[in-house]
Amino acid sequence: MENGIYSVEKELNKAKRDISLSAFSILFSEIVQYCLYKSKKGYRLEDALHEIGLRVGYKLSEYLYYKNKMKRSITILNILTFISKHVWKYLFQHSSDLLKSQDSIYEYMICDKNILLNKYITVPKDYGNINCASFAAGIVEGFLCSSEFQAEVTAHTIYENEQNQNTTILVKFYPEVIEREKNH
Amino acid sequence: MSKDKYQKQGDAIFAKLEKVNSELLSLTYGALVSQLLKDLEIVDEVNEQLEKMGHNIGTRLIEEFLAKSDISFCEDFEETVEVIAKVAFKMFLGITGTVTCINKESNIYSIIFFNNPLSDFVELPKSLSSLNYCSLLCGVVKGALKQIRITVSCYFVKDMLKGDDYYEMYIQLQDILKEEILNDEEQ
Repeated sequence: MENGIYSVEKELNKAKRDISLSAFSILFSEIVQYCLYKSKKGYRLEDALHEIGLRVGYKLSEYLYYKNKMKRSITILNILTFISKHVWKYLFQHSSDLLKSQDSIYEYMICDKNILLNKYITVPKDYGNINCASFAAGIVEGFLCSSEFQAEVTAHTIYENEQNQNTTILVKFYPEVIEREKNH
Repeated sequence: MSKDKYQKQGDAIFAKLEKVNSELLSLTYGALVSQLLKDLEIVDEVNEQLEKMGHNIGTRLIEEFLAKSDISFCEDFEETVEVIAKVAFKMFLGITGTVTCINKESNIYSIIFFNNPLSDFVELPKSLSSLNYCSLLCGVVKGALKQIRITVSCYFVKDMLKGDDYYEMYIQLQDILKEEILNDEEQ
């Protein structure tokens, strides 16, 4: 496009706009339906949602640092704090908690008490432990991998009691990343 | 004027709803379209799939729309399109459109709008110039109106992603299905 450069600046500096939560929720539910349809062909529902989340994560790793006028993170703690505070606030309007696993030096956890994605989703019992927050896990993995912090990120449901369900995003870094951190 | 009434109604309802960042919608929709392009590979199939998904969304959206807004009867098709452009668009996407009549006999109306949260940050490469990126929206309108027994055809004639200065969507009324009341005695 001839006016390519001009339109990039315009897009990046757009004023913040809001849409209704229901519009996003209905679109997300349609995406889950599509992934369910894919799961009949042999893909797991969570993997399909994860793949879509990856694409969002790749874009965010460039965009959000620009938007928040911050420098890129080069340590594990910095990038995870950025994700649990700024990325979560940008996407889901509240920040989440970051925890380090006691059992393994490779694992960290991001906990979100009521993630926006699952607000209108109930998982039937015969689907087991599926959590549609795999989409958010994909976003985190895309963000980390494109910032050279290779990790495997998955979403898990923690049942506090009958009614309450927390979502925990488990981040498992590859050994090279931890080694690199030690040599810093 | 009835036009201002719908605008005010749309604004009032939108103010009361729980909101999220529009960029979340833009990014999610963009990721969905990229994923569909990877899975289906043929652009026409992606267009079709987007419209189908829009249709499913529309069938559920109309219930929420009717529940949250106070709209009762529309006198004619023009008013229906006006409600879509001013109230529904505002309620769900935070944008307002202007309605113009293209052809009164064949019942074609157009909605023009300048912002589209679905296509923020998007640039279509030359190889995908036949991709109707916003065809989800057409599917939503078709699916929603079908649930209230109005069949329409809906398509974009001007698309900002394809180089035009604004978005223009044509809605043409095809059929209004009458309620069928079955008489038990006839069985």
